[in-house]
Amino acid sequence: MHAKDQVLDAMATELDRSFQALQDQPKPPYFLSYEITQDVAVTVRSAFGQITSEENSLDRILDIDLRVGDYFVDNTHPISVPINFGNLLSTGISAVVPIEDADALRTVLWLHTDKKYKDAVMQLTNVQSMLQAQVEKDDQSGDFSQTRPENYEEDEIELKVDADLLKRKLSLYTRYFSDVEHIRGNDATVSANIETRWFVNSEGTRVKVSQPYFRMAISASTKAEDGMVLSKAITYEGVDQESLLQDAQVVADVQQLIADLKALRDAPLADPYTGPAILFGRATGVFFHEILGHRLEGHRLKEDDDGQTFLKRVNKQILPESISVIFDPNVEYYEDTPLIGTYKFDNQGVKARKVVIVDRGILKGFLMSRRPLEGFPTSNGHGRKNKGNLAIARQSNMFVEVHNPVSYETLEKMLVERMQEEDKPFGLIFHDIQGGFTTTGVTMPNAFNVTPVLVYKLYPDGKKEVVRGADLIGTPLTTFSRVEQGADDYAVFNGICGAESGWVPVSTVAPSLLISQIEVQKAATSREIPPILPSPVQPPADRSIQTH
Amino acid sequence: MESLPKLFLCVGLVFAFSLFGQAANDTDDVLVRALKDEMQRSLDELQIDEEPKPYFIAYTVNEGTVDIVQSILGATAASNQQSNRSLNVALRVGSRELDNTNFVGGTGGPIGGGGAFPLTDSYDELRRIIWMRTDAAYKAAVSSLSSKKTALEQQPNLERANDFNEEEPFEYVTDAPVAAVDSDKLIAFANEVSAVMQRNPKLQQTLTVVSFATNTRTYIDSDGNFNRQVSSLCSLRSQASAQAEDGAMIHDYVTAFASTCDELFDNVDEIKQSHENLVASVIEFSSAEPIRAYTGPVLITDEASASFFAQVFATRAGATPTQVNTPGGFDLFGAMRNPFMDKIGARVLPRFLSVVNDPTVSEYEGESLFGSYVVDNEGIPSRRTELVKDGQLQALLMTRTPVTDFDKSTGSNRLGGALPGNLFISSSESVSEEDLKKELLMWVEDNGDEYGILIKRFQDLESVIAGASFDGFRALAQTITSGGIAVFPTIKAYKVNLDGSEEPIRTLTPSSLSDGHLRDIIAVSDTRRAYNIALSFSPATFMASLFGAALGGFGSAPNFIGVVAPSVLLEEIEFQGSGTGHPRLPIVSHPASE
Repeated sequence: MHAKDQVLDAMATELDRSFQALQDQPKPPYFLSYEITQDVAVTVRSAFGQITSEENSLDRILDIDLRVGDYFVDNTHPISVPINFGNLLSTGISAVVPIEDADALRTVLWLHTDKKYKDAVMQLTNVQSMLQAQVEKDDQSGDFSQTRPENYEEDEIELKVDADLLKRKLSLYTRYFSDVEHIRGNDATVSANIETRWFVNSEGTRVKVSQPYFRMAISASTKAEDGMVLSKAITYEGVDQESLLQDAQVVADVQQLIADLKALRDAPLADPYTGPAILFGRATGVFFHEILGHRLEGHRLKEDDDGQTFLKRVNKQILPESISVIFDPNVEYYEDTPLIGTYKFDNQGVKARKVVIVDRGILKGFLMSRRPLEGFPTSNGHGRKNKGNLAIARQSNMFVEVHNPVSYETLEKMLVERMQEEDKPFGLIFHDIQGGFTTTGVTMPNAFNVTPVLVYKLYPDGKKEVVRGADLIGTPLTTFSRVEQGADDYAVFNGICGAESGWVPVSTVAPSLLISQIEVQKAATSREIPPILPSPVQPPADRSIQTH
Repeated sequence: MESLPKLFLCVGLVFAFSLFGQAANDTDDVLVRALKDEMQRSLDELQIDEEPKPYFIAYTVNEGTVDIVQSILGATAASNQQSNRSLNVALRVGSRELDNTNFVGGTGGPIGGGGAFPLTDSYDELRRIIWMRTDAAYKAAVSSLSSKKTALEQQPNLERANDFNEEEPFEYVTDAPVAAVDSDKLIAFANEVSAVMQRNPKLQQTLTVVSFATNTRTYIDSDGNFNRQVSSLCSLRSQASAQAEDGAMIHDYVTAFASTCDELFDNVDEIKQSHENLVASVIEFSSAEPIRAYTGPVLITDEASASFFAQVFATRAGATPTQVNTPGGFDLFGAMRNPFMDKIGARVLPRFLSVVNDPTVSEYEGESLFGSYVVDNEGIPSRRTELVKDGQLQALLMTRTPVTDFDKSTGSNRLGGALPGNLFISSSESVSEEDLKKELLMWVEDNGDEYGILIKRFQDLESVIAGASFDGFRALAQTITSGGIAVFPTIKAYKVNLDGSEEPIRTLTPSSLSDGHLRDIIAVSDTRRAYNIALSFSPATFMASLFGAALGGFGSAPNFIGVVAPSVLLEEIEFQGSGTGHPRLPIVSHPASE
């Protein structure tokens, strides 16, 4: 038998043994799952044409979900618990596991299950005493939902990387940054990973999946005369190294990045602005991911301290009728671009499935893990996490679909019309958004602040001018109600998203959108002066592109 | 269960000297040329308006590889190999009397600009990063000096020494080749060794970590110091735990070090035997008797004696320069001031004890001493320093930062602060080990007690972290905040009955030890043993790391203090017992027990 099956076998054997033996306890577990995540990775970094670090790594991390109580109330019920200093010292230390020896693996599983069980019993006691002192909640959906057992195994993918080639290519791509005077910082990273997960649970699920993640990120920064640091990044995703190393494309993108940063460095500062704007394709993706996506993650809607923006808006209009939002982890590519929010089974062993969340503007549901929500009793395969965390509902591949799209050119014309109607001297085009933050809690304003990296002013005559230092702010419900028209220029945003359950890969496919009114404030800035001495590096007079 | 007693060569001992002119001016050495050129340009031209130019610049480049494997019970759980090169810039503006350093509340160390330091030797690209880092360091220094002057104006009576001294320049380079390891062999070795602990139902957590690190360190400063040093370290550490019947967790570990992994591979049988001993020891101590508390005489022998002196002198041997603080601010560094600073000339140990720090010696009776080095992190050659003579404190170890009454470096800048290398504890009066034990029992009898305590091994920082030992962290906190002596809980402690018999006992945690305890050393043995203690913590290094003043940066190899010490008998130490309220035993039996 191949090693892969031995891992699942050892996990299942130990799970059954521990689960059965613990049934004699006064508070027996009703659910137990083991997930082992193996990450094999090669990472190479470069800056200004030179290699700056190289790393090969392998790690195997164990996560256990052990539940005592019952599906309605169990030890994972969210409450504020007294701080246990003993546990505080030992948290944050991941459980590494050996998998190539069944006895060794079972010993580690045994020991960690014992600890998890003891912690779970303590947690359940805390939960029960806390619940006695609280009024009953509206949400009576329980802590854990039923799901059907799954059985799926695939072969472990072998990591195939030519590290020397990666180094040569990365040095080649970053060399262009050393040729220009205005680039102050540069970093390029290629990471080639194979993530293999083994999952078993006490309901009979046995899943083994293996997935490649190849990613290249190239970033650079410049500094304006007033001290503002301006940075921009480009990323590539793929399933093998060849798909990343498309020389002609990468070199063109690098040169565009260099040109964008030069334009940004020389651009005037943006003034506060309220008025119509276009979110360009990828910017729409980031915007929808941050502002809409995180508010659709089901678990958050039953937390007392969450603003629960959309909880009471099911079957109500939250977007224009022309827009639908669908999540589908089964789609691997959009045209030729890989979608990294793809998976076959989520981290709770539930099969990935397509979910229509917003149907022609009407909110239909939420992204669900096995933590149910009133009216949404089952998982839709979105229980996700990074190793070392407990899975919660997270985004996968988001598709923002426009039903009556126009061309991008028409969208710009519509923006000009809007400007003229409102007597605005210019409108804004948000070409790229790198990230930002959004608060969904009840104690903070339910707002967002995203940081666009490339913003143009569009004048009525069609002239475009780059501005810098514009932060896009607002409140989600208002902003979505002002989405006016979508284009047909779908673009992909692939990113690694951080939330309560760690970092997970996500994708959004979205078109450019016209928004009737957005609000912009000045970004915070450093006032540190540019370098005192000139660069000791003289740019070469000419460096022709050679990609071999 | 003992850490391996000998066999291993010290890291970084193979040095070859050559003249400065040969290396520092060697135009073929691209890195050195880039460092020198950018340093000179910065000294000549780096200036903001009316602010002063830098008067001192030091660059340290650490280039290294780390290959690490974690193995559990014969199988690999994780592995990692990486290569890195880092640049650290130390830049001073002002004057040696008053500069931007030794100030709490500045902008901190410079944040590296530009990007990571290249692994490859491209002159232009090395200069680009050196330029940007020097620029950032200069701006931070100018800002700190200005704030420091303001803070000083508000406390005109503050007693402080100069900020930086003058030293004779020192130069050397080693031509030792950089060693390498076969990653597959490292993995196979870790698995083979950890397999010794397989299928033992009494054991709980076990982990074996084997690593190989190489480092080439290049140091150059504007005072004319230059050195290049190559070091490598292959290290093994295995830990194991078992649970006593009452639930108490028993942890122990074994370590082995050598400059190349082949030396460990060649001794695999001996290392496996040490793991058998580790297992036996953990199991033995898991059935040891718990004692509630103890106050009385204590005999400290073997590695415990070396740990004891290493902990005492890691926090007390080095001078702690005055840090200028913002008036009214929380004076953490005042609390971390070395209590020995005010005791020069005073008695700190019994009259029969003397202590010398000597990093120039690399061996004691055939045992390698890992605390030896040729040059410190500020480019100053190491030297012998008599710290305590006949019980009286003679001197403190110094970096290039003067303190009142002392302004010369002793070549002791390790990890940024003044730390010992090899400590030699000697005695003008001593007795045999046997008589020392008899003396312990005499004190026990005099006190009307039934037994005394013998300690052969204390926990170290890593075992404190691995065991999540609250008492251990508390001991650490004590040294930071109260000037106490951090002595971690015991691993191997014994009850010595009046008839001389020894019984293993559970973990004991020393209550706060003070300098008074050191003067209460009653007697020492006539035999001395050498141990290498991995440097875990000292306030001096803590300060340095907080404020980015660590000139040397953190190399990839751990730093050790070599200790040659006799067994010591102390009149009275107070211990807390192993306590109660331990976790339950595992509910389900070990899979191997079925």
